Amino acid sequence: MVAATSPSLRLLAVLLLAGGPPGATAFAAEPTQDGPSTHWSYAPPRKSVPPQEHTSLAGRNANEIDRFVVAKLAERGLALNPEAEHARLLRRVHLDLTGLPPDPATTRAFLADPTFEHFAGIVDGLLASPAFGEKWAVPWLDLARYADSEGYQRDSPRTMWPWRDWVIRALNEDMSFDRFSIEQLAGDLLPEATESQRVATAFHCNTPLNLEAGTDPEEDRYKRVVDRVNTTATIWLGSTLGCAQCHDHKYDPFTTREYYALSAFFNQTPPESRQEGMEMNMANLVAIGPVLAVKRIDGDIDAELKAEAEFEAAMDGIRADLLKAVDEKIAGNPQGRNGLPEDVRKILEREADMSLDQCRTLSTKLAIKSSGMVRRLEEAGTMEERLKEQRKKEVRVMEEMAEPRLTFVAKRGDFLAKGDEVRPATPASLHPFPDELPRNRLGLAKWLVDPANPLVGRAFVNRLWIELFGQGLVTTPEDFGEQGERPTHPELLDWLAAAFVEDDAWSMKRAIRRIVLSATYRQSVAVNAGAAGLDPRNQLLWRHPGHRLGAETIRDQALAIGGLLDRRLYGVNVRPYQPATFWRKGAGQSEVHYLPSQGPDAHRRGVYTLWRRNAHYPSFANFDAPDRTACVVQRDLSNTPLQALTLLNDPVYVEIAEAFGKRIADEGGMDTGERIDWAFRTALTRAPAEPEQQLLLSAFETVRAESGSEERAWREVATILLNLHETINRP
Amino acid sequence: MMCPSPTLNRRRFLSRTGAGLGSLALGSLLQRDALAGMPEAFRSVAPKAKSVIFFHMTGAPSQLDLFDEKPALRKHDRQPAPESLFAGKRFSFLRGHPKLLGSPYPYHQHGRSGLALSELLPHLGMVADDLCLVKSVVTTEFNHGPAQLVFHTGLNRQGNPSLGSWTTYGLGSESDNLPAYVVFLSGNTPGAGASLWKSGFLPSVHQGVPLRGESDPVLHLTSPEGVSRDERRRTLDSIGALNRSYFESVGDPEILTRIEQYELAFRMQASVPELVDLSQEDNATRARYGKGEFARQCLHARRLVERGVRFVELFHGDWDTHGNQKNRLAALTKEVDQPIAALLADLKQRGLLDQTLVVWGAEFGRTPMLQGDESPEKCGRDHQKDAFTVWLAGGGVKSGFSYGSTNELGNEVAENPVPVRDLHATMMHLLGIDHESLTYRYQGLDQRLTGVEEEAHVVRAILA
Repeated sequence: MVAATSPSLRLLAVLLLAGGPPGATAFAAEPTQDGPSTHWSYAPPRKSVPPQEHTSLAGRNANEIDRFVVAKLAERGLALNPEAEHARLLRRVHLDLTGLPPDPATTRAFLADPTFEHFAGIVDGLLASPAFGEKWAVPWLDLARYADSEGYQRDSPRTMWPWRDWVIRALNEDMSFDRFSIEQLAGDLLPEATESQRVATAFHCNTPLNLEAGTDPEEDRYKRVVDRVNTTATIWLGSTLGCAQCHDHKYDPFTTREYYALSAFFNQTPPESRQEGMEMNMANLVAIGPVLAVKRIDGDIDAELKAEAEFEAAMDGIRADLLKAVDEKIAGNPQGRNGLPEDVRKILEREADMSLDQCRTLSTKLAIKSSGMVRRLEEAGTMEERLKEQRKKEVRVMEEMAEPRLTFVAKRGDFLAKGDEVRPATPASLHPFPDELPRNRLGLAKWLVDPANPLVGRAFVNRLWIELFGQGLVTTPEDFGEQGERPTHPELLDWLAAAFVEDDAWSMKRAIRRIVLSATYRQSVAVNAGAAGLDPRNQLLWRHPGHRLGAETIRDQALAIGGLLDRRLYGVNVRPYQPATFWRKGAGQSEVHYLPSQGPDAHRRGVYTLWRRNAHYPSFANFDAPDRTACVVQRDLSNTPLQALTLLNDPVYVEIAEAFGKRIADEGGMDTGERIDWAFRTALTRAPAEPEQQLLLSAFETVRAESGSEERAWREVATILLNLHETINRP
Repeated sequence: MMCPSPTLNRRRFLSRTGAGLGSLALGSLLQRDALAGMPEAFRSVAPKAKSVIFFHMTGAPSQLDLFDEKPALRKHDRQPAPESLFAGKRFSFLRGHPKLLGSPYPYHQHGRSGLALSELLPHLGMVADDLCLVKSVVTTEFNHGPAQLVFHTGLNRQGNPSLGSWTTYGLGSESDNLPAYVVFLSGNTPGAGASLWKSGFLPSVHQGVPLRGESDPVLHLTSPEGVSRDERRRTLDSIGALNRSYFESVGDPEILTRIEQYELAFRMQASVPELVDLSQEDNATRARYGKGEFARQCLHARRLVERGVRFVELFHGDWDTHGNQKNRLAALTKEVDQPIAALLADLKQRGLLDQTLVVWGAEFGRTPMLQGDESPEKCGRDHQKDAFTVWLAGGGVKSGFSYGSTNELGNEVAENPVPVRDLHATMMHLLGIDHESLTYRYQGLDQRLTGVEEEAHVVRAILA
């Protein structure tokens, strides 16, 4: 059981106002009365005995989840859908656990023996696969607002990917969620902290950093502390503390004073930027926060050598063309090079050793400024930056200052309006802060994952539910407070939260396994008119929602279907093709040229894609991937014309369709019918129904007849399959 | 198979929408139908404008050299500023004891209204009788990124919906073939980047769609090389047929939306190139707008509102004149003065100005204090949040009118301060939206453009 200590609710009595009107939902919060609140989420989760198994679950290998879900359905006279078709279920669970479709051998074996035991074995295999960490890192990166650029005006590059790799490794090792949390919040404060534990603390260094000239570094530091408090509260407390920054929370039991007391835990790290030098009367800002040099990992050397070779090849071309242009300029001048200024002559003497800076000088001084040359110099600059990135292997980390910094209440959120001094403390209405814990980030981290915390387990399992069912048991996952929605299945939420902490010992894989083995997860997506009439939002879970795949999964899956996916793990971020002009020159932006990765790097999984906050990869943005400027708990699931244009016309997808078309012709079988069948199974795992087969056959034949090209006809089939709603949704 | 109510299309959206909004849950493209004849709580005011053209001069132009004439400043040019102008205040760059900088540009009165504009804006002077100057706008931030966010979203941090997103969320679209909210960029990308036209916590269908100045105005609009329109049509027919058969087997209405969006994408492949094909305009019209990227975009803006697009935003930069103000201001005003004046005249001539709200502004203004080198060529001005000028035109605002004023030196508002949120409330009002009723439930609060903390007021004095 979760600790019996009931949180002090005294503050609630003082602070609560009558709740606003609840949202229009079947599960609306009851209006709050004045007086002591017993708001559900501040009471410890209770692991109640699941309702008795409903007769409709007989023979369905149901687990406790289903007993809760079906009991609620039965109250409305509803039941679960039948189990999904085997091939669809297999595809669904592959995409959910690894973000990749099943391979043909797995599919054949499962279809030959589609038992629950076989399915459970496949689930275990998927949880053990390295692709699991790559898939499940993504929602954590959204929460952690992970990006490869600073944000704000400058938005210059920053090195954070070693932390992204840390997350993937931790998930694959099934690091327990309490340890996962403690290492990221305070790994540096653990006794004899390892390199890995210190890398983990980059978590809170993901906060944007404003390096716009003229920014007050202290004000920006204050903003980052605020962001760290808010992000921490969202993830581990399911609470929106942000309001309490300026005034006592109107609805939840948090005062402004408590907000700043909580911020005092994060107020002890050194400055991360400072003004340095003046240029055109502007105080420049540079990043100065602590960094950790990390050890090389396998595969790094190759990447570095490749980047070096690319840079050198570009430089050779630039040098040769510059020298040629110089010769043209001085042709006809009897003095030859001697007529040139001395510094230019000195540079020219270096010939093939001219540095990029020297080449720039030559181009400027001798006005060799053809658009091609200007562009190539800028591109070489970008390459040099990337090479530095390859060599640097540094990641920003948290450190505690030797001398504590005093923390004050900032009146109305203005950091200059200093109010009372506050000491590090947690809100009084939540579980107590144990005396034996230090009053620093480490103590705070341990307090957050204390089994007595009523919110952490609920918030965590709710996020798993969002990932697997498209919506949470609490549909306001960022707010479990008075103003949030009440859970659709309060007993189930509590049971899952308690089981996660007690039975699973915070094992994320075990918690996921339990959900995907449920009959609720395994049911079909079919809409049943009667149920839809009673519960149009499917909050009771009478069907699997079949929600859209995430941006990264859509691309990863397409690459896998096309046979192009490069399965290497980890490393420096990669840059898929995007229009060269997408990174427009911005004020003070340091890197403006986008150089797409070449070779296999162009086909790495989406989790490795460079994330630039002010111009993030448009083909992901179109599928609701956030720009990661702030903590995001749940992505939108939009359905827009830009998505259609991306899948039809983005050169990345055009290339994939072409590759898939070739695969169909080469690997698909002996005759057209067999190939269409193979293509359909490769994209959707299931076999085509007769009309579907016919439709694709006729599409193939029409194009072949018109173009006289089988290749084009197979590309047509590939394009159709890659653009289907079923392809980009959970089946 | 059954086809449940269209509200199923946006389950998540609905789950976050306040009770008053009901079936507005459809995303701008479908809202067109959803809104027909539906009296919504927030539409409690009669709309004056149907669409908005919003100009943002990235970096912040000097209101003192364009709209807000200060003879006293000229008189005390290069003299030490009175201490009250800077003591205890925070600036981005100004340090020590700064001097005052009088505007070197003479002002001229224009039209029947007699509005005075500086000589840098001769073309705008010709349409001065259509302008409504608000010289007393006040913001809360003095750095570009946060101030741009305030100006666009009401809050100084990222993640909140932009003005345009709130507008299309409230009013939907009147165009079948184009996105409801279109953005143009000219010059530098504003510091706060895409957050300025993103939908924040609103459904992403409300995000602004940046049209680019390149050959491919919508990213990935053009079919792959060698794929004809007929071939594309056929591909879409096949995709549509398979999607329909999938819908028949599972009945999820989201599939119907998908089919619809593929069709809109196909229509955009035709409508967007038609939109950006300016050869349809006669020579006199094109000549009136002048040359250059920004001029072209201004003409596009008119074509967009003609085609029912709800919100068009044009960014132009970089107006951040800390130094070299003289040359830079001359060049920048030359780029925008003629096209913007031409747009106003063109809209008016076509009878569109009455139903189009045009707003011109920036994240803040600039100081009366001189920054940097004192020479007339090299000097500049720092950021100023406490007083700057925004102008409006068309759609229900007074014309040939000036509202609010600043003090003798122009560093603070003297009368009728207009906080940015009041400007937002007024824009919403002109569109027929009660800014307090247009809400979206997020993070436990009924969020709105004008914020949940302080009251915002419609500036009634500028309503026609």
